[in-house]
Amino acid sequence: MAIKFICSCGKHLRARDEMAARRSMCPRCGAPVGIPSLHPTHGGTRATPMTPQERLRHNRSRVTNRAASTNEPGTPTLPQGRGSVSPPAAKQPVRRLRRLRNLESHWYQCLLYPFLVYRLLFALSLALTACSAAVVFLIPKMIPLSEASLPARERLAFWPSLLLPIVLVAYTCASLECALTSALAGQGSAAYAPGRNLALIFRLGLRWFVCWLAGPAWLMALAAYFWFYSGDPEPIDWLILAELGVFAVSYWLLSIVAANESGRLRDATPLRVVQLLQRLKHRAVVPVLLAPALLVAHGFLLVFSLTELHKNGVFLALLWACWLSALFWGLFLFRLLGVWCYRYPGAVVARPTEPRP
Amino acid sequence: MKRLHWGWYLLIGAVALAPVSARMLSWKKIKIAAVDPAMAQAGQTLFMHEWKPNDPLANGGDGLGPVFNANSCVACHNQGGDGGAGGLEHNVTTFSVTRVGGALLDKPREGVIHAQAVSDNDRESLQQVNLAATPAQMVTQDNHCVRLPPPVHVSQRNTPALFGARLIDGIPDRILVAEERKQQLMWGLAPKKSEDLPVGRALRLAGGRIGHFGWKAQSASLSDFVQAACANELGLGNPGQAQPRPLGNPLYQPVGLDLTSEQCDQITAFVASLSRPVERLGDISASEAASGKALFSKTGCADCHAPKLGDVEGLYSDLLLHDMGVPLQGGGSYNEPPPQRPDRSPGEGPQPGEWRTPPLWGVADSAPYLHDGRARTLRQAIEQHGGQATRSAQKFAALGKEKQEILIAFLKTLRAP
Repeated sequence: MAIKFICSCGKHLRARDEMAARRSMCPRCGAPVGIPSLHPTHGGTRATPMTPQERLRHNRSRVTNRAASTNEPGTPTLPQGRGSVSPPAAKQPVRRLRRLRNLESHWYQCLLYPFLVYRLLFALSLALTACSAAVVFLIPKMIPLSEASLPARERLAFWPSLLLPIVLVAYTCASLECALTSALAGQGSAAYAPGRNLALIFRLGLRWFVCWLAGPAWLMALAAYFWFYSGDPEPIDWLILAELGVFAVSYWLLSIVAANESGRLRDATPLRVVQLLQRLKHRAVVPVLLAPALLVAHGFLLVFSLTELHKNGVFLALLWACWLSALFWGLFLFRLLGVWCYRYPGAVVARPTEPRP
Repeated sequence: MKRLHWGWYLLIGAVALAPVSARMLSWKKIKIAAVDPAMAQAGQTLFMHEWKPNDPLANGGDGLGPVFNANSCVACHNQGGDGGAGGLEHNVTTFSVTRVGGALLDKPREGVIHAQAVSDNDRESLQQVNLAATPAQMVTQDNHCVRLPPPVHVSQRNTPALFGARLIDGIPDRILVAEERKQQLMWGLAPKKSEDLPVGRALRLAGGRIGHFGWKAQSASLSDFVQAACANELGLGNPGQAQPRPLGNPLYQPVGLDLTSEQCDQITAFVASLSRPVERLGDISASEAASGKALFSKTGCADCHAPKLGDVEGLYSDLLLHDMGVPLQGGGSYNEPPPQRPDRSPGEGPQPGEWRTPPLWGVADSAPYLHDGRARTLRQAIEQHGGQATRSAQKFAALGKEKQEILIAFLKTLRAP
């Protein structure tokens, strides 16, 4: 039995039962419409998900209410960094309120997001610089560690030392995903960071890893093999590498967005990725072309910096600049994709009413 | 939202994978063509032939000379059989001049100081390269290692063995580039000309080819290597390499080419027909040889002397240039190629301290060792490794006498065919 309802433009609409309490798009006016629930609602609860405008109003009123009641503990919907908007401190409520901004309405406004998380940006870029430089310098010394003749103590120290780069990479993934998640939840521009929630960091890091394994890993492995054994690449080889890079990176990016949007890892599928592309329309050029281009450019710069670092320590500054730039553009891209996915929701995509990390 | 037909997913997948698959299928596999026995037979005749001035086999050319180092190929390549390595007495002297009158030359003047000449007037000496040099400066303790202070570098080259050259010729360029990348990644993205890490570099020659042969990896193919040797060692001009002009007579004009393309191909076919070296246990047991091989890897020797390169098993070389440090520096190269075959590398040419890792197969029958034969034994050769191989030499020194002997015993199992 279909659910019948009317859009604000007057169009009579019908939806399948399984779409109850979800949101869709009106085929006439294109505005988001809430599909009524099949079950009776309790007093005060929302029968339908909020429109973007409603969510913005709701967020504003929620923060204002929290600021007003100083005794209320406040439960942040996203893990918060030091510069986060909540929980509001009783001592400086006005200052905290000023930090809350509306959800970005233009792409260039997303450029502001990395500046809001500047502390995270600097700390993470410095940590990644130190870690990558250390790894590069330690590799020649680590190689003998694999030899059986070395003391067992040194061999044992090798494996735990791998944990630090793993945590750092997971934290980077989690930080980028916070930018995406907050935007998908319609939360205004503010500083979102994974904080010290190790479980969350590993969960998000694992999501990236699974999304990577579910497709891009094989393409990247193929590209790496091709690059390794192709000799000095000719123009046609560069084109092939670029093509593989575009497919791998854009698929990875879009599958992360798809899995995040639905909250289900099993949505990291070609079907969801294609649906996401259809929704984004011309905007798809950003994840499909711009993101791989930025990744490759930063990859080249990173390799160059690390190679030259062996000769001259000055290249540490270039390495840091490379990480800083990569994180900046990464945060911008994820925020932008989140905002677009929020503003242009799909017809069949279910969105939870509460934002989540 | 309109759902895509499953065929579209297949199409997208095909678009993603088709170009790379097609390209990888186009990669040349190692196709080692069989050697024509008739060509090899004819080549053997030329290889053994003692050339004379105006030789009847020289097709109207001037034959041997005017300057040369030996009068036949086999005169130098004879250890362990025809085509083997040469002794110290057959070393070739090369020179390089980087400055004239204090001014740095755009292109160093390089060449060979030939040991013999057809005419006494054409006999070459170091004084023709550097007027300030005296004959005493050319003589060292063993009469094989000659170095002068800059701007003149004089160096010597020992005759390499030619066994298994066909297999080396068949190794694709991309395998050498892959080896170069592997070493760079393995040592933490260290630069290719690292001073202490064994990160080699493939020498890029004109036309994008990679050097496979020669102490400086200056020849991309066996054919090029043979043609260069014929011209520079015997003075036999050929389509691939002009014969050298005497240092004292730069206006010398040869009457014509001494070797035709077919003759060059015949000599190349003979060299290609030489069998590959073998591993023969001799006095030691198989377990001792295995222990020695394990020590060879453990000390880091196998980082450059890779036991397997591409599909060639038992080569013990990566065919890359490695910086061997100041004590092993040696500049100079063969004479200029003909104008139609410019030998200027699109990248950077070999530096004085850079040497191609010599294949160790057949090493037991190729003494003396190192580029100028300064090491009479394998132990001396290992101990004199410097630059990027310093770490391995130190590890060898730290092994202890007994293990060192096991490692050397393993190397002595690598024999000529």
